[in-house]
Amino acid sequence: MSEEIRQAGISRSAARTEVTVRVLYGIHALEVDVAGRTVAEIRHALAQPLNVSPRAVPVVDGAVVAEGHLLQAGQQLEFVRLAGEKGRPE
Amino acid sequence: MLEIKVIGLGGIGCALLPPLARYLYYAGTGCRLTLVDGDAFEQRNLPRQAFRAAGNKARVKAEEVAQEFPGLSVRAIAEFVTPGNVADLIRSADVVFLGVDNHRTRKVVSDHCERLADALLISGGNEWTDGNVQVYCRQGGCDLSASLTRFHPEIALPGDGSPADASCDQAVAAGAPQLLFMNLAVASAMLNAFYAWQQGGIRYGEVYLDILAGRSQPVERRGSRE
Repeated sequence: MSEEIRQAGISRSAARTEVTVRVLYGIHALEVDVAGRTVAEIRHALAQPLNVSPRAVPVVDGAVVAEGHLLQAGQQLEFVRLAGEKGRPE
Repeated sequence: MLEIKVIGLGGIGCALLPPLARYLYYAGTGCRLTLVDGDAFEQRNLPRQAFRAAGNKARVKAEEVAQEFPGLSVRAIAEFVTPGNVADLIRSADVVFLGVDNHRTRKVVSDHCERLADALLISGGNEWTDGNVQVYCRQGGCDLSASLTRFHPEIALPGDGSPADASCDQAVAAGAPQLLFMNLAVASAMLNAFYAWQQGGIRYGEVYLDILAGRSQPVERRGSRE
């Protein structure tokens, strides 16, 4: 998965720093250098490596944001994974 | 007396109930356990659900619990949850374990809990090898964590039907294959959330599980205090 993320133009950090953004999707948690980029850009870049659903709501530091939201260092972006529904695909 | 409602006695509910009943029985704290499901056990349920007799799921499981743990107060309500009966089924200060497979029922229950002063709603669901548990906690009319619908539009605007009014096609779809181990993982996470709440605080509003990856990820879900 790391190689897929690198190919998507996103660099990962080994640990959380003041310049990274924490990105969550389901069980996945990444520290990435994406400050200054929009939610839409991150969704596009991670869509394949993390299989992010196009319906997943973007939440930054606990609040729902628009796709054009500019990410800042130290923030946490979560794409909220859809609730389980008995084996049905998203 | 603590009122505990277990809604849905399918794969998750059947996995959750035995340890929950055992825990409550031996904890010795006063509580009443209410099992709610309008569905019936059939032979096709046997690969994932343990039951001693055919018949309504709530009644069959209530009888089993009463036999194994005499003295534990348990009752059955053989109904699906609907907007029409949810206020009778769930009262303020109840603890609700919700193990259903449709978003419409999740919305009915979550919306109702939003109107209560106090409630703990623990809802679990799964796909084949992954799943999630949501924990909605209200106290004194304030949300301590987010409702089931707040960050989940698929629950806020459900596209599926309630089992109470399921067509034949929907009933067939509801029989989509599931993995026993995933049901068990979700049930276990629901019980863990209940225990964390009992211990005085729960620090996450949702937890994701993936049994192939062998990982879980808790996520904070801040409530909107009123």
